[in-house]
Amino acid sequence: MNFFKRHLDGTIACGLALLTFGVLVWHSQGMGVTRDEGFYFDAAESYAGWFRELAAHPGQALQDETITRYYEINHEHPVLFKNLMALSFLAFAKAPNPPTWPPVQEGAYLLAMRLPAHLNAALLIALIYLLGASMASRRVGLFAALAFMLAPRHFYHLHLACFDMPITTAWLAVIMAYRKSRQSVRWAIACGAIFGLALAVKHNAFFIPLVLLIHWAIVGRKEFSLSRQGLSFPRIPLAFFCMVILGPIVFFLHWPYIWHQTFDRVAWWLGFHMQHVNYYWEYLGTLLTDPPFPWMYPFVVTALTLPLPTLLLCGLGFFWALGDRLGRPLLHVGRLVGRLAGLTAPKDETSPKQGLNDSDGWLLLLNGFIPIFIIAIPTVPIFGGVKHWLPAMPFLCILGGMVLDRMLKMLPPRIGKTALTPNRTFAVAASLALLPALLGTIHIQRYGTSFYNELAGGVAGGADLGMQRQYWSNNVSGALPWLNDHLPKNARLFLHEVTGESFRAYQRDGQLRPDLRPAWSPDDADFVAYQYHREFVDAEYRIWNKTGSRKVMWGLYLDEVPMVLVYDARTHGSGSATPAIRP
Amino acid sequence: MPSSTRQVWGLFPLALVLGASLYAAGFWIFSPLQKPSPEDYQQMQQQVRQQWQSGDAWAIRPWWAGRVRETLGDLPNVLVRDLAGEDLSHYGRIWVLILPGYLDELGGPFSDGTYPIEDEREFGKLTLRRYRLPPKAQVLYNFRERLQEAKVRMFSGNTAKDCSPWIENRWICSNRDWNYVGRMVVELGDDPRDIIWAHPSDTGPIEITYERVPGGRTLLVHTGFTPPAARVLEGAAVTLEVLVDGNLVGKVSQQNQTGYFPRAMELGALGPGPHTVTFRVSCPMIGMRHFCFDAEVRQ
Repeated sequence: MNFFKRHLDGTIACGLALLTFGVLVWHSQGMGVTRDEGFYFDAAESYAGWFRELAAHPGQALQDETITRYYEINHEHPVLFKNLMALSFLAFAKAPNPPTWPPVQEGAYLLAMRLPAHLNAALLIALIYLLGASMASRRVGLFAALAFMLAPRHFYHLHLACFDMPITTAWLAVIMAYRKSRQSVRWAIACGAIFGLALAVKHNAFFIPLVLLIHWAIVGRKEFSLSRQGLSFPRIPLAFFCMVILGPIVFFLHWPYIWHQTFDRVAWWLGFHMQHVNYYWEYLGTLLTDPPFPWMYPFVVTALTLPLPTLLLCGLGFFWALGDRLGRPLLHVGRLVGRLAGLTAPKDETSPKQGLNDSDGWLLLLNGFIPIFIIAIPTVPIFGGVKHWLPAMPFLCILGGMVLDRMLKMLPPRIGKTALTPNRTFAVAASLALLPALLGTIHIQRYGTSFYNELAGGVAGGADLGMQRQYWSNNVSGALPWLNDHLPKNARLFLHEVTGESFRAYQRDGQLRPDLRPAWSPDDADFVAYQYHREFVDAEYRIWNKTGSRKVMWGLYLDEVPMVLVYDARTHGSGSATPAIRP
Repeated sequence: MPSSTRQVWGLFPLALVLGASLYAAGFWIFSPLQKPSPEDYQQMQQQVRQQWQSGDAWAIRPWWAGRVRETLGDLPNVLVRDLAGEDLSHYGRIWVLILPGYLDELGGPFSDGTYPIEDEREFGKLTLRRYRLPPKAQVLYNFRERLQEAKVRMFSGNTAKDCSPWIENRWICSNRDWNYVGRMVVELGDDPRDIIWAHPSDTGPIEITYERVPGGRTLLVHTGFTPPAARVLEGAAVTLEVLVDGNLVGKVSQQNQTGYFPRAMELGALGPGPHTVTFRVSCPMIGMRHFCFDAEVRQ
């Protein structure tokens, strides 16, 4: 017992991690396979082959020819996470289902592939708590961890075997290590190594040094000077040197594909992301196709997708912290306005120094802002919605928890006979503030890319506003049970927007009947599961052109908004949509 | 400012957050209760089918609602975003199915009395209204519907070459997959439109000729580009010339815009016919010229 008391933060963090892991494993059953996941699953299976080769013939496994055979696939992303998926696949994936229906097993394949994602999610939530507890208090850490996890879009992304949540974890871990590195050489070294791991997850990591450099310059601003003796500046943190040295080393070591022809292959990887295509994206009734994109985009999408209380708290927390950091200029302006209005300036009852120190304050502010700001640059591709600025959210959630704590301190110490202790008031207020996030997450089920908040008016409000209704094709999982029950044997099925890899994954996982054959367009399909996308409405009209009918067999609707519409495409121009015969 | 006032103002952000929390929680608890049930749709469709008449169409508000197509998708419908601004002259009555909260969306002639409400019923959470529309336009000849009867030729210099026999829904003019004249539904502006696809050719004009077309008062033409075509920078205008009995009666230069743009041409002076009507489509630069049109002769 004493052990847990002594390590209370660790215990709470472990509890949160276990809770997160358990919830995700339970909830991911039936969660659709995203387009990217299909590619990563194939890649992971290929990389698993290399690990087998490494165990059997280590010398041969290190040859360029062997490495290329296994690692050529999906070399547009580093492989840390896919390697973990490969190992999980080797350890936990069972033999494929025999081609019979119903399946012998369902969900085992996806669970094995997503296990690293669930572990990552557990780690991420624990880290958010630890940083919040370390910077402010346990209750703030707890609030931040839960606020992050329960935001429906976040909760959805936590499930996925993609890189957006892993890079969020890695980003946060680098910042936490950097924060500790100021007093510890070991943490400085760890910071460098973790930065290498972050690079090995996704290229977003390239922006972390930018954030840290700005932080270093701001926090040490008083130490910059230019005199006859030359330019003087604050001491460069040891962590920076470690990042420069260890980052590339760790990155190089993790990726067998770049062990040969290193410069060419790294250059190709960087070039791929420098010239990434712009996928079309619906935003406030406009289809965004080419840059310049609206700079407001990430702010508006955040405002419409984060649960309203969480949004308010994050916003208030950000501006409160910004006000504290820029206190003096803001205070002067406030006093001036006060004088002009004939008022005396209010005393600053809550000193900025009471809450965050300068370094922590700027760490939260910069990390909460820069990932969003990057996407706000009009030439940066904006597809993918919130997932591309997820690294900002843990920091904003901590700021949200801190401002809630601070606001509650303004309450009187008791109301009537009830003492308003900080923990008690915080628990009540935080529960109330988190309740909508929980309800929204329950409401949206497994269709997280379609979530819009109370400000937008929910899913229907998002459709009214002309926002991207869904993406990544995972919502089709909601149609699979119906298709399995109703399609005739060996039917050719066009799952619109679903990749061949994902189609195979559904069959491999026992979610889709093995006799159903993939079709690649409505023209060569017997049945079509069309997913509404503003940029792909033409796909639906092709069905109408083929069948002469707009009649839908079945649909997946969220709050009456169509997500997936199933058409009988066997008829040519007759307009018939007779219910199909069961297999 | 007195300290008590300051304290009250200091509590304002907290009150805002807690108020927003209550509102947001209420939103997720109560908004699902507004959803129509499958039974509501079933009863509604029974009512529509029982009283359906030739010349009727249905529409839905909000525009994106789709479930009704499971039950009424086989009946004529108007699936456009701006129903109030739509030309409904092909129909005598329109059934409008309205989801909770969208009653006010019906503006223009639906709310100013131009289209009187003949019937209104509630089916659970669904509202069903039937509007009487002004007398239907008398369409004497619909060129899209009778595309199969047309003669389609593509010019190469001064030489005209007939396009293929009619295949499924189109005349195929070459082995280039866009080079056909066909009966299609495509997106023009924000809505699906029943049109004739007539992508211009780089070898010369494409001519679509109809024989024995009755005379009328007006030849109403709609033209437009698909959104992908209109996104092409400096996309060239496509010219549509309309010739009746060899005489040019109208010419539309469709600029690089998506939409469904009407243009009326006078036919009254040409007599009752029958006439030979030719649509000639041409363009100097044909890259991504997804040009579409439809036309009808109205009395």
